[in-house]
Amino acid sequence: MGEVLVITSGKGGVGKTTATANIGTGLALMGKKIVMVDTDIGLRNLDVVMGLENRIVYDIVDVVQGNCRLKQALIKDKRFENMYLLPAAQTKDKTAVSEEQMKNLSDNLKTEFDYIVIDCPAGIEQGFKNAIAGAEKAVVVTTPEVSAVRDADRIVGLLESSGLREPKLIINRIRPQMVKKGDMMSMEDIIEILAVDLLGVVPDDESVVVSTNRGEPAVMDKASRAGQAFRNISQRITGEEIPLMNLEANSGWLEKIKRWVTKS
Amino acid sequence: MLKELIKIKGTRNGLVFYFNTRDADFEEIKNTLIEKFQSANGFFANARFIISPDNDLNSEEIKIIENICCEYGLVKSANRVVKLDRITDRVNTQTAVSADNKTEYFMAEKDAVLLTRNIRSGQKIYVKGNAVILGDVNPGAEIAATGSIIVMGTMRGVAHAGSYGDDTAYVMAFRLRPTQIWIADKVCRAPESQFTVDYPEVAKIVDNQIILEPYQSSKRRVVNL
Repeated sequence: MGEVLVITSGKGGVGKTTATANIGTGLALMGKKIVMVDTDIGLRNLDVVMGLENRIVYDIVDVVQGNCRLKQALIKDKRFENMYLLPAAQTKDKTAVSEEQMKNLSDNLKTEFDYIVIDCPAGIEQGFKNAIAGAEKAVVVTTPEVSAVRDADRIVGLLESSGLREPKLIINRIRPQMVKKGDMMSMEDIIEILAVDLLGVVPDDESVVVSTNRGEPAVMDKASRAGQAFRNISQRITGEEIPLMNLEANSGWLEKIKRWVTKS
Repeated sequence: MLKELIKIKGTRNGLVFYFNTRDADFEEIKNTLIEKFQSANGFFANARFIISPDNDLNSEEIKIIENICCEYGLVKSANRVVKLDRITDRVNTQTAVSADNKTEYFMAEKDAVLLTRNIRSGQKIYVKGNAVILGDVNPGAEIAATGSIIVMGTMRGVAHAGSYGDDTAYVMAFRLRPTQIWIADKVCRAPESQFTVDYPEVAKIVDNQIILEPYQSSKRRVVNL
């Protein structure tokens, strides 16, 4: 039986879709059979981030309404045999799917896949309720901004009251230099407020923008630091214990010598 | 059985009138009120009164009711109606969890309600009695108690102690960094500066003003138990 993960945040634009694409791909890289489900009906974009936009024939609404079989709507990834995408509908809205239907869908997918990664829409309305209906574990994404943390707190509360205890936290787009200067909330500040377990910290990285636009998730880029962070996160999801990466590590050799000199 | 249309409660600020506008129209309520005054034989004379805001009466209807009250010798209280007075009815009906699943009502059996969890943004807790929270109250969360509030953690949200008008109530927290503190009908907000202290504090009313002071267990008057 597979595991159903929902990636959520409350606030928009913090990187739910990017996280979903990267965690999904990260798990696929590890050889797991995974499916990503886009529940952002009406504003779908997981397919764009994955570079699979032109392969969509049927979508999630077609599946739950019985217009097609589940197998027909699943899009096989162009890079990995073991990775699939169930796209959202673009023409309907969030009410086209009910919580009950989402639960059934998750149960069906669970028999086929090791991991089901659900991309949740922003907000706390029907779309959010649908996304978490079938989920067993939740991952909350936030950025080091008070507004995002506030919304994440709200989401954690809602998740807890709907039975998704102990959600895990991803802090996205952190900038160590700014944290050092005291201009940005630190990891510790955020954890102190949210009081949930940390799944990973993703540094702010321009390569994510590039890879998102290309439809190639950053995890596949060996040189990308954000990609490395997402690979670690994927490994932690499978139960491996991976230490947090050193955010300050700068890859330049000059930096390395500088650090070595200051250390001794 | 006919539902009670009018409830009268005595508080420090005088009598509070609650009108059940859900089960009766205005005429009916008005007549019941007059009946009540007539049968009371001047019992209410010279008492201060407030009309609870928890009803669907419009300002004209409220004026009529106030006039009736004044006719029977009551005196309109100058006190502002405490914002959270409206919870009284709902707390009394002992509904533990409301329909929207976010606002929760608790009633202390003896002295206090103990909550062992974090209160997060968007969650509201109403307690009849004292409230003790083993956890944090995060920004965006609200906690109101008719008695005092004690947070064994960091208080970052909105706290309302003495929500029925008890101005001896206090708010205490290991780290008191609230967005707002209400005690009875007084309110104060956090200063704009980033100044914070790292020891437990108590907020209480002194000379009609909410003040914060370090918590000292030896001062029994602070704890007021």
